[in-house]
Formats: sequence, structure tokens, C-alpha cells
Amino acid sequence: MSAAHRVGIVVVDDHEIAREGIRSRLEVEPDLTVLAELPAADDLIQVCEKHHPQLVLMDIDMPGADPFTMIADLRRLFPEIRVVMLSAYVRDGYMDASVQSGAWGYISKNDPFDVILKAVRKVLAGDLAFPPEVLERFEFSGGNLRRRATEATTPISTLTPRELEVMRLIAKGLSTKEIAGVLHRSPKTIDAHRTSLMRKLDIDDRVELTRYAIREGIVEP
Amino acid sequence: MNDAIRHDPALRPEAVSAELERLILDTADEGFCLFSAPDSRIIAFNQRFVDIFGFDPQWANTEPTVEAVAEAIYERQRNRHPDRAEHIQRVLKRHEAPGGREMELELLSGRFVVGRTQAARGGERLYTFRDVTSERRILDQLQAERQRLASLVEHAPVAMYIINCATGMTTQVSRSIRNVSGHEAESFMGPSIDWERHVHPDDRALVRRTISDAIAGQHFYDIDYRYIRPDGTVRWVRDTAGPLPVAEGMEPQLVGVVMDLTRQKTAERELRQSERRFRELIEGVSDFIFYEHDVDRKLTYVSPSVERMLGYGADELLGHRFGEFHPDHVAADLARARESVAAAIETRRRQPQYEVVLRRKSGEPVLCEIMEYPVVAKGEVTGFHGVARDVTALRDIQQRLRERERLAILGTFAGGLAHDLNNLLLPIRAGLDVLERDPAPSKVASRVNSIRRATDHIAELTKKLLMWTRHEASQPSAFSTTATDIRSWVQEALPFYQDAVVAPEGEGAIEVRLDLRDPPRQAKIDGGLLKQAILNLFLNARDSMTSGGTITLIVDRSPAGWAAAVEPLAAAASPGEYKGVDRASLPGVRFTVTDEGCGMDESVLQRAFDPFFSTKSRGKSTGLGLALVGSIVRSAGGQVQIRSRLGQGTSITVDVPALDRPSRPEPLRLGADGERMAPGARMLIGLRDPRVAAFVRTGLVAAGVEARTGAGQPEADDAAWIIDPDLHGPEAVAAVLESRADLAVIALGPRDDRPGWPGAILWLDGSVNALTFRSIVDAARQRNRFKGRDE
Repeated sequence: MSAAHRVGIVVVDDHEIAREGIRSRLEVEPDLTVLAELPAADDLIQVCEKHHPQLVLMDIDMPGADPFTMIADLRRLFPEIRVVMLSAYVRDGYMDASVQSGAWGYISKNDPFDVILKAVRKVLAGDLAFPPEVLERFEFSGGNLRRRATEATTPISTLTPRELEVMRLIAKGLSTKEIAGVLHRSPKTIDAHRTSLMRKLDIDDRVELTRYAIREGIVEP
Repeated sequence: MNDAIRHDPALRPEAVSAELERLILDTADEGFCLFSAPDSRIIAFNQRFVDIFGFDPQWANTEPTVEAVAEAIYERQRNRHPDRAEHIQRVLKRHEAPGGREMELELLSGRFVVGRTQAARGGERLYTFRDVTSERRILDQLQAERQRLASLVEHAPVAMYIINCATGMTTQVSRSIRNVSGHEAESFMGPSIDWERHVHPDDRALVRRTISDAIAGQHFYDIDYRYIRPDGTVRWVRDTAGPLPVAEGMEPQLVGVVMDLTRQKTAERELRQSERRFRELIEGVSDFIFYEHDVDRKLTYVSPSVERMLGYGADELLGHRFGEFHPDHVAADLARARESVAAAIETRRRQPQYEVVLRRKSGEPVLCEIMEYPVVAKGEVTGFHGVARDVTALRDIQQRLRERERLAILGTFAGGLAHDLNNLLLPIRAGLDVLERDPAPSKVASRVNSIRRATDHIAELTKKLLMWTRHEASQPSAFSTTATDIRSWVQEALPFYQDAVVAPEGEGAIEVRLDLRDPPRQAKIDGGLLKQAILNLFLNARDSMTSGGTITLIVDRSPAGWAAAVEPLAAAASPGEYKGVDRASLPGVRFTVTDEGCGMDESVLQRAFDPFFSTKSRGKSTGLGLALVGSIVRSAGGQVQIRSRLGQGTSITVDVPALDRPSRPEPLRLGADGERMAPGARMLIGLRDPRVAAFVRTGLVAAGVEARTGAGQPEADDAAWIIDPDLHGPEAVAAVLESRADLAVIALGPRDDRPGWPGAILWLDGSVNALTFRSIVDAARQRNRFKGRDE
């Protein structure tokens, strides 16, 4: 199969060795090709503009831009590009945030490669690659996939992707000012997100919030 | 004649000489009457005269004699002489020899009148009468007040006294002086100066001087001094005195009040001491600033420690707000301060403490913990007391401590992990070396196989490690939506366990026995995780039974109240997670895995759940097996208990929260009643957003029907068409239905207003989720669209 007929993929992972491994394995497949590799999501938009991939394989725990925010931006600018998350962690919080922000699938790095390839092909064929119990938590409403409001909803599932991101950065120890810098928003906006998420979680202070974020797998301990 | 006289109608001006006119003028507003010299008849009088006595002016104009007038007045008098004749004689006698004392008359009308007689040079007699009724009444009231006061002084609960200023004698002292001074009232009577024998020697000069001056000048005084009581104890008193109004004929007096002030003085002294201690405290500390500010956050007091903490003098800050001097203060921090003050003013309550970054004069940041207390007066917040504490160093130490703890934990982890990884890297390196040196095809397969085994082992290790860290830090998810049907889980898991515990060659055979009793219907735990946890128990059991034996799995209902004992669960619960849940009545599923192995001694039992603890050789065990069981079960809100004795086997019990009701709808069953979905019949999902289409397809497939996605028109095999009203216009849909009357069309979204939609369309408004996928299928089926080709 010529390169022109192969499905173009962009790999985003902060570990070079992981990117290399993924690339070498994907390129063994006759119908897949890796167009670009990125150590962070910051330049993803520009790279997509240049290479027009059909699929983006993206890690979650990376320095730099928030992957979930990036998916939402990407969906707006390039609705045809399908993003699949490839994470070392299998977590409800991450998976829910992935569905909510517009990803097509979620794969564990721990899975054997043929499972990963199967998921990639499933998404390319127009199916979602999430565990069924994750999709069961969602509904199609108002033109979008939203978290179902059920009795058993955990407080964290009520957070917006932006609130989740602010929570992740708070738990990483960043100050409001620093978070504002990272997310290119005003400290006032960040404060509003923080107040809102703390209210939703019924948490009063930063330390408790950090503990909660670790328990929920939003950040690494 | 002056106007006053000329205009008095009762006056006969022609009879009045110039001298008389002057005398009359002196009478001012008094009443008068003038008797002629030769015959002592009235020749002039004024209106006031007739008014005072109530005479008829006509009668006065008849020029009555002095005797007739005396008679008339006698008639109107209350304090008259008992003998009328005698009275008249006295009046006539006075008429003959005018002057002398004024006479005071009390009239029957209640008036008091003072009368005076004067003689003119021509022998006329001028009688003047002054009405003193109101003066007399005031004097009477004054007398009554004095009597009441005297009585009060005698019996008042606080001690009162009266000093006669003329004599310097104390004339009255209330008995209650005894309560104050300890001495009887009598001992204060007499020369007031004698009081001082009861006064504390240090205060005597003050008392003597003050009271002497006040008596001499008849003015107020107010002094505090001490009495020495007969028992030697000392009492503080406040002595306040002032002059009584002096009436005519009365001697000037001072009235005073003595109050016991001992308690107040003691309290004042304690307050002063406490204030001094507090001041010493707040001025001595260096990492606290005490301050006060108004509702506008402008500082009204700052403790001197501000200089040490922020480098500013207290004077520099008064009238300003914290943070005003450095423009690079974090705006959010200042906004927080503003919000806190606004909230405190609104609620009149203390707000939670918060942290802000202030700046030293040099610009260096200082992390301060702020606690402010609103000062409320008459229901309004008038200002704030605040404490700002420098927590820069504290937070730094806490941060370092956390880092150190993390490093210590990481060290333990990394040590074990590095050891295992090195062991696994060895065969990989060796295999690669061999492949490089001898790439003979015959060797490749076996080398690749050995590398794959090693990498599989690494993957297994990292998987467990990640699961362990994940669950160790996770919140209990006992109330999550995940639920596992116990009976089907057991059916699926048991063969897996039987395969897993097959004894290695040369070891005794292992038998697995299941004892399924009466467990609740479902467990609130992920089935996969539960399988992993119980597998680890089986593997542990197998490893302890080198000579073979039986492993028993008992599945039963947890004893009532099991969850009440699960301490870590409640403690680790995330906020809001377990509100209102009665933990004692929570049902549970109990899994017990019992082996006939070598058992554990006390020291091994103690560490059995520690990560990387293993009694087996490295490479044979990751040391994460039981640690993982513990973390999975705890994170599900359950508990693990272990019982073991060396040489007698081990029994591990796992309790997890249960559900007695089905948590999901029954899976959709198509078939059995002739409504089987025909082979090849499917649904076409034509939604604008391919991701949403994929979502709907996944749901429909899970609900038991075949479905495909596509923006094109339905094919012959498509029995139902799910449309997006925005994507497919009414005309396009109508056109399709014209040739496909058997097609069920389901529109996702609110009913579209555009005309031309065929009536056969089913509009599915609202949200579409795992539960409503079934309604979509039902809706399509009810329209009898799914007709099997073979029917």
C-alpha cells in the first residue's frame, strides 16, 4: 500500500521511547503510517493543520497543554480527526473526561499491542473504543454526549473538563496565578472555576482537594 | 402720671400726688390700695388688688374705710386670728403706725399673700400685697423632698450621708455604710473630718483635702479611696458628693454617696494586667501581626511585630490597606480579602481563614494565613480584629516533609521494582545479544519467545503496580454504579481459578471446591477487579500448598453489621460521599478462600498486606498480590480479614458491599415470541456527528440489534432509519418513505416545525442513553417494521 493510501496518525507522548515503540509497531501495519510525533499537546493544532492526520493517539499525563482541552479545540477546528487516548492508567475520571471532551476511544498502554491496534481500527471504522460500562454513563442530549445525571453520580463526574483541569493543576501545587498562566486565562476566571469545583465537591481547602484528586486518579501521588 | 396708672380704670388719678405716684410705681406688679389721710378711706387701688382678694371693684369704688377693708380681708383669710375684734384692732394699730414686719396671709382661695404698709408724707397709707403662692409651694415641696432624702439616706442600700457645711458636722449617714466600710453609721456622725480614721492611711490626705475644700466652697467632689474594715481588710469606695439647693433659712449642706468599688477595682486591675500581658505578647511575637481595620479594610491598629514581619513601621501602614504598597500583589489574593470582608459584613460572622501572599517592604513575598473577626456593634459590623501569621517557612517545611515522605515511599517501591525489572531485563538483553550474534532462523523463534515472556512479566508487574497505587489512593467506590451479578460471576470465575492453581509438576495435586450458599444478588464491585482479587488469594493458597490439598471458596452473605467495623472506609470517604447512609444496615457479600497450606506465623501475618513483602523468592513473586487484594477491596468499600496458624493453613475473608435489587434493566430479548429480529434486518443511523452516531450504534448493538452508520439513504436491509432532523429535510425523508412504506423512521430531537414531515415518523425527544436504546428498538418493533424475510 502506498503511503498516500495509508491512514495518517499523529502520536503525542512525552516519553520518547514510548513514541518510538508506538511508531515502529504501527508502521509494521501496511495500512497505517505515523505522520508526526509530539512530546506534548501544545503544538498539536499546527501539526494537524500541516499533516491532516485521520487519527491522533494521545497520552494524558504530560507536561504542557491539557489534553482534554486540546481534544475539544481539535474537534472544533478539525471535526474529522479522531482522537484516541493512550494512557498508562485505566481510570474512570480519565475515561469520563475523554468521552466528554470528544475522544473516540481510550486504550491502556498496558494492553498487548494487538488490543491497541484493534481499538485503533475500530475507531477508524466509525465505532467508539470505550468499555461499555463507560458509555453507559453517558447519554446523547442536546446534540452532545453528556454524563447522565443518576443517583449514583459521583461528585467528580459533575465537573466540567475545564474544572477538572484546574483541579489537576491545583493538586499539582500550582498557584492561581500559575494556573492562569498555563491555561491562558485570567486569575479571576481560574478562581471562579476553583470556587465552582470546590462547591461541587463539597471541599473547603486546597489540601483536601489535593487528597481527593489523588484518590480520584486526577494526579499522581 | 404714668400710663400704667392713668389707664387703670379703678384708679382715681386726681387724688394722687406726685410722691404717691412714685410709691405706686414701685409696687410694680403687686396689688395696692391707697387710704386717704383724714378719714382712712380708699382713694385709689389697682385691678391686681381686687383680683388677689376677689373683691368687687364696685365695692372698692365706694371708698370703704380701712376697717371695712380689714373686715373684708378677715372674711377671706384662712390663718386669721380667732377673735375678729382683736384682729381688726391689730390692723388699725398697724394703720396708725405703718412699716414693720410684712404680714403673711393665707387666703381661703389657697393663695399666699404678703402685705406691707407704708405712709406718705401727706399722711396717706399705701398697702401693697404680693402674691407668693407659687414660691410657697416650691418651698413646701423642697421641704418634703428633704424629708424623703433623709429617709432614703437612712435606709438606702448604698451608703449616703449629709454634711452641714456651716458646722462641718456629718448630720446623717445611712446604716448601710456598715456594709461598705465595716463601721457603724454612728462612728461617722459628728465632725466630718473624723471619718478619716477609717480611711486607708495612704488616702487620708486626699480625703481630708477634698472634703474640706468641698465644704468650704460648697462644690462637688468625686474621689476613690480605701476604707480599712475592722477585720483589717481593705475596701475600695467611690465617694461622690455635691451641695443641696439652699433655701432661705436653711444652712448649706453636702449630700454624698459612698459605693463599694472593690470588685470593679479588682476587675480593672486584672484587666490592666491582662492587657499588659496581651500587649507584651503581641508586641513580642515576630511571626504574627495583630491588626484592626475598618469596614473599608483601612488599618486602624497594627502590632509592632509588623516591622519584623513586613519591614514596614506600624505608622506607615495605619490608614492604608495591606497590599496597597506593592502593585504586583496577586490580584486574586486581594480579591479574596475583599470577598471575605464583604461576606463577614453581610453575615456578621467570622469567615474561614485563608492564605494570601503579602510583600515585605523589600518586595520579598510572605505567605500569610489570615484570620479575621468582625466587631459587631448594634447589629452592624464596625470593623475587624485580625491575625496575620507568616506561614512561609511552615508551608516550606510541610512541602519538604511531604516530599521526603514521598521519596521514602518511592524508595521502597523503586527498590523492589528495580530489582524485579533488572531480573526481567536480563533475559531480554541476553536474547537480543544472541539474536544479533546468531540470527539463524532456527534460534529466532525460541529467543523471541523468551523475550516475549520477560516483557509479559514486566507488563504484569507494572499492571499490578499501577492497580495497587490506583486503589491505594482511591476513594471507596462502594456506591458506584458498577455491580456484579454474583452467581454468573462465580460460574465464569471458577474454571479460571481451577486452571490457575494447577500444581507444577512434582507437587501434590490441588483440588478446588466451591460452597455457594446464600449470597446477595449483586456485589458493588467491578467484576474484573473482584476476579483479580480472588485470583490472588487462590495463587497465594496454591503457593502455600506444595504437597497439594483443597482450596475452598465459600460465597455467602456477610454477617449483619459487618460494614460498621470497616473503619478506614468511613475515614477515607470523600466529602459528601456517604452522607445519610446507614452503614450498619449495608448488606455485603462474603468470599472466603481457605487453604490447607503451611500457614503463616505472627510476624508474617502482620506484614501480609504490605506491598513488596513476600516470603517467596524474588522472581517467583512480585510481593504485590495481597497488597493488591487489600487495595481493591478497600477501594470498593469492603474489608479483608486474614486468619492463619503456622502449619494449619490460612483463611482469608473478603466482604464487599452488596445490592439486593437489580441495578440494570433486564437485557433486551428479541425472539421466542415470534418477534425475532430477522437475519440481515438492521437499523441505519444517519446522524450528523459521526461520534454520536457511533455512540448510538454501540448502544443499539448492546440492546441486541444490528445497526450501521451512514449519511446515505437506507438500503433494502435497513428496516429502521434513525435520522437527524437537521441533516435530513422533510422532503428527502418523504421521498424515501414513498418507495419504502415498510421503513420505520425515528427522528432524534424535538419535533421539527417545518411542514412536509411524513406523519409516520416517530419523534424521540429528550436524551438517548443505555436505557432508551431499548425504547428505540421497541418503538421500531411496535410499528411492525421488523418483518423477517422468512415470515
